[in-house]
Amino acid sequence: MIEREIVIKNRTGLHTRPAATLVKTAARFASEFYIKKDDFEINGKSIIGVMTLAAEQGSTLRLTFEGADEAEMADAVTQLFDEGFGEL
Amino acid sequence: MTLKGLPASGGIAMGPAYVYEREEVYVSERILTDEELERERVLLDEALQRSRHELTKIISFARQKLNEEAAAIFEAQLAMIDDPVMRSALDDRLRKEKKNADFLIYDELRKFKEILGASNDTLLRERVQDLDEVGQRIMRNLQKKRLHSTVEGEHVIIASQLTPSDTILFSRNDVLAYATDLGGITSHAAILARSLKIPAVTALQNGTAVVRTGDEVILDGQRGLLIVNPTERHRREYERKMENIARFEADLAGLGELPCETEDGHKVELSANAEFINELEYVITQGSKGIGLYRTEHLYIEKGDFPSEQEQFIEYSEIAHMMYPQPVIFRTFDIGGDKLLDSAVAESNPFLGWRGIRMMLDKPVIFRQQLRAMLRASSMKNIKIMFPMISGVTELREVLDMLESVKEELRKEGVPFDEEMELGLMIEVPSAVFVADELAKHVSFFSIGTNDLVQYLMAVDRNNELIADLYQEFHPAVLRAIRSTIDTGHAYGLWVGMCGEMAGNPLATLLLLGLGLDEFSMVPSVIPEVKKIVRSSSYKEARKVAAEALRLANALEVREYLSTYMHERFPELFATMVNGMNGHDENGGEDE
Repeated sequence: MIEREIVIKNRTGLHTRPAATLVKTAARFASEFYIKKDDFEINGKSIIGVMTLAAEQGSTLRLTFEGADEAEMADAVTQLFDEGFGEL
Repeated sequence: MTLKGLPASGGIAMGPAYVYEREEVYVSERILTDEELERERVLLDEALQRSRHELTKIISFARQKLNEEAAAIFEAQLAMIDDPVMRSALDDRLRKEKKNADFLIYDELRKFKEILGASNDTLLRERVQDLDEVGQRIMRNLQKKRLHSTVEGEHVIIASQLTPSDTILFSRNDVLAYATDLGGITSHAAILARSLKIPAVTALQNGTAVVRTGDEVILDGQRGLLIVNPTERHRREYERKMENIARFEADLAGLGELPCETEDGHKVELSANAEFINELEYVITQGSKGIGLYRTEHLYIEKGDFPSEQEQFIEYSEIAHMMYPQPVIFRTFDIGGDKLLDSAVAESNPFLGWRGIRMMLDKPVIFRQQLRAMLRASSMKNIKIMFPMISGVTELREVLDMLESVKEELRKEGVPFDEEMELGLMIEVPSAVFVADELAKHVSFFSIGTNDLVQYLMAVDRNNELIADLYQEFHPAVLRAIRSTIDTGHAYGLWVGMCGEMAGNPLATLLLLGLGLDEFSMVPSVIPEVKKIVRSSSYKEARKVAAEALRLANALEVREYLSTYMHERFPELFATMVNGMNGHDENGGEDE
């Protein structure tokens, strides 16, 4: 299992477009992926789940990846957050 | 017969009507037998697959015809169809409750809609609409109802309401125009219609009751009219209008690269007002010569606190780079006290209160950070800085002294910056108009902030509904203030620009041109129209218009004069514009 902590960089947070990009990317991998914000945890492959997180700029999220391709998945997903989903 | 609604998207269309009735998807709850259950699973898979397919086509079409933002709405809907959590919930319930799939979908989505609908975030609440659309789509496919969004031939679509995907799907089939009974001009469908440049009218109320498929109609998107079974006279009048518009649009399309110059060689600069990096691409494609006002407050507003020097430096450099070699004028923080002060010490008159440059001078640490960031970002030498709300020379000197000390600091640190950077100030406080000669000695340019200047001059808060119509940008006092500022600026070798809404008001273009304004900074969407006016006129003509307008005694006369003159001179221009729809709001629009 891999755990990563990230801070949301892009201004409008995980709104529609980044949320769609995130789950699309996550769907490419077989591993499980969960996102935790404060005490609330959701399945990172579920766009409805991601939306209900209402994660805005500056919020800290804990990501967990578990499975055969967890390393690649962690890298790909973390990169998305780092690049602010192309909105920086 | 003529039906009247709200103009939602400019332009004119003539053709047969098609009355679109979206089929209601009714859902009833059923318990299934074990046999039916097996089949239901397969049906669900098929329905999801068909829905996926439909959305994929919409996405690629939206991407082609519109932009990523529009496509993103549908990408999210596609992701909802593939949502694994929703899918496993459905599978579980199918197995345990043995109910029909369309009911289960309806029920599952209802739960999510409740969660999202209760959110404080408006964007999230709007996603409820998307869940609705997705649910409808899947249920429709489950019930094997056909999607009636393909229409043979060109039609004017008349509907009770149109969802975003309706709007996009119809636009594939050469739809001529839209008219809806319901819906406002800021609905998704209206916005999409404008992006697709399809004329539209909303709020007809009884369009679907009165019009029949096949009826000949004329839709006037500028005046919000739907003429059913037009007379010969109507037909001819509108045919003429359409010809003019077509010629005009062809003209406009080629304008981007051309200089903003009158027929007799008088040049002015057209630039854009902006505040977000992702507006810049549009700014560039609209043919703007740089950014005449880059508002920096959003950094504060989004963060809820002043951004660090480094955060600012990153943003300012990026903008400078993106716009290079065009100039970018950054305005230092123009924030109202209401944003910083505790409600317990709220100002009773925030508009006349602790805001803009006054606040910055009281917060030197913050101010210096911003100045440092701007200077550091000036290595490509295409940045200028301007200061808001300057009321007199003492204030200006304080600002310039601080700037000089920041420059000294940077020099000592060996950090390079543009030593020749141009500085300017916004003329918006009336006192500045009267001491413009003194102010001019210290800066390179003025930028007239008409939004606030008009408010202060007329003693009108344009957000106060009781007196909002007293906000008159064509009041003689305003015109004289503008003329005086320009003349004084020029006398001292400055260039004078304008970044208030008035700069983007095509009614005012010739007037401002004739008063000698050097730079017009506006929302990007109106740049082509203003450019067209400038290029189709002579400076001589502009001077006459200005002289005449300044002769008139009151705002009403000035407005009528300009309106009549411009409508006669540029009929096609005013035929395609819909008031308030092209980024111009004659009551002042957004804050500068």
